[in-house]
Amino acid sequence: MDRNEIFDRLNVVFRDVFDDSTITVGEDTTAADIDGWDSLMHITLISAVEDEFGVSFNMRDVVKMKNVGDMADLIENEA
Amino acid sequence: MLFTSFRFLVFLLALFAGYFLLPKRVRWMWLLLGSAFFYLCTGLKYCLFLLASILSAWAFGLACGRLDRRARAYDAEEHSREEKRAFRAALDKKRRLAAALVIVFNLGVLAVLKYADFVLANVAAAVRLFVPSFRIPSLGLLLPLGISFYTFMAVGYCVDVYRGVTEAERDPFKLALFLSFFPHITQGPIDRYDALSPQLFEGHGFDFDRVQRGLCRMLWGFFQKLVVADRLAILVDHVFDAPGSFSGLYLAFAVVCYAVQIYADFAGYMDIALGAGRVLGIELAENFDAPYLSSGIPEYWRRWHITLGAWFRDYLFYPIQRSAPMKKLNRALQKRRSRAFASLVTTSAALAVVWFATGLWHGASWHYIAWGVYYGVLIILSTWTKPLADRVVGKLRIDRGTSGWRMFCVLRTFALVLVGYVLFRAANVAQAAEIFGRIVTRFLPSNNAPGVSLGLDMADLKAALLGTAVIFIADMLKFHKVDVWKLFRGLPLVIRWAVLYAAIAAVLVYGVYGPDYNAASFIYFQF
Repeated sequence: MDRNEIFDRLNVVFRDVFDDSTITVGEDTTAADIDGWDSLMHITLISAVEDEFGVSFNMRDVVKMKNVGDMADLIENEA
Repeated sequence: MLFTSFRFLVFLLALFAGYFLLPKRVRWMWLLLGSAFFYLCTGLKYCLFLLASILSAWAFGLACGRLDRRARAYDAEEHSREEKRAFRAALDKKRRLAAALVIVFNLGVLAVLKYADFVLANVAAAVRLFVPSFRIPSLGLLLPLGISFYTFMAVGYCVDVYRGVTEAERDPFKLALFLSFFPHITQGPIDRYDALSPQLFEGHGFDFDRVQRGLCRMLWGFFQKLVVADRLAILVDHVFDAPGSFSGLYLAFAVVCYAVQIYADFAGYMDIALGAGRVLGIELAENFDAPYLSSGIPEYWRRWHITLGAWFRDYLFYPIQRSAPMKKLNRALQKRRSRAFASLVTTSAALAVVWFATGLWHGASWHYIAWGVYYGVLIILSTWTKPLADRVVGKLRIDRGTSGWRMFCVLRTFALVLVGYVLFRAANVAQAAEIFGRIVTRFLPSNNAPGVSLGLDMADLKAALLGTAVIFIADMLKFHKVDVWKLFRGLPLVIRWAVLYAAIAAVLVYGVYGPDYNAASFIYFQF
């Protein structure tokens, strides 16, 4: 899967989960950049990304993920 | 050995001197010796529990590492994909079993020592409803100093090894240093092995600027603890010892004083601990970030006791949410309602467990559980009502960017925190209810018992208020990301020394000492 395609699909997921159509994520986007992305929403986001890409993250990935770039790397490796 | 005792200063001086004089490669062993001595001062019997925790975590790490090596070796051999998968599954089962055993062992020791009497007392109370004469004698088990903290660090290490977040430590002495490191063993911060271990074993050189920064941070901690926290403790203890004698106004003032006391006490301890670590070149995890300037309860808990919140997030909240039953529930709710609704339900369920556990972690008493549940309810309510609150704010055309709105949010959050402190500081739930009742129904000072006082004279009260103002200003600077050290270093040399001398004099002169001084324990020692 092309990395641009991953980010396009991630944008759709982020916009849906955080109910904000203006969100555009990039390699360096972190939780601090997106209103509402806190520990309470993190797992909801992770589950939505898993559903979208048909992948499964383990707990190591969940706690070590530092930005959307890390997320895209994992998707690339899993897909 | 309390951080505010003369013995600790002597200990620290010897430890610092030895650390910088010894060859770099053995410095971590010196730290281990120092930490062992520090903990031994609490009593030999306590050390046995710490030793058991260290050994169990070390053995688990070894077992996990061995299983991983076997899996890698098998993968490298010629087997079919199915055989490899079956082998990996069998090893995973063993890893899971080993992880469960070490977690149950460590948390089990903590549970028995800390909660056995509480459980027995409640069982006895329940049976007495039917058999009035029923009694269960108290076990009176000893509670090793810092057990709640080192147990959480040990469990965190084991889970991280299990998850593959960190490599297992093969050297039991290195793991012993991590768990027993004197700045964090009694009250935290609850450090993570992967972040701290490289610093612990590196052997840092003497850096004058770093040492200065560390010592200044320690001085700041002593100021908060001795000048502010211990002075306000006199007032708070006096009022909470007999709340029935005080009007609601006095009680509310005492609760505000307690908010300042516990913060100055706990954050002061952290500054001493982190300052001591910095002198050695070891940066422990930050535990506070101007919490009373938070504009909401979730934000408050990201700024207060940060490492405890992070521990519960990574080792309880996320695993509950990622568990198979929760995933199943989430999927079912998504199908029937929506993703947002499913998220709200599963998040709320996980939050309920986490906040019950947070309350229980603070102590074996119903008022701590009530305090935890209170925060759980607040955070769950805030997540459910957020869309409604957003709509109301939108309809009222309130600009969330204004300083007026922010100030309102900060004050509202602080008021909610104060309500929690009544539950937290009260001796029991009944006393908390009495205090709430008096604040609501007997607010005016005319309800004070005749001749009642706050327990502090005006001079002490003024010193405490002045100290509180200094802490507030420091927090405002921290909140706005102002580098206080850079600011301080920018001052002319004469003024810098004047500030330092003034701070030392304030601690020596205004610190709460005297004939009754017993190097008052830090509040979080009891947890």
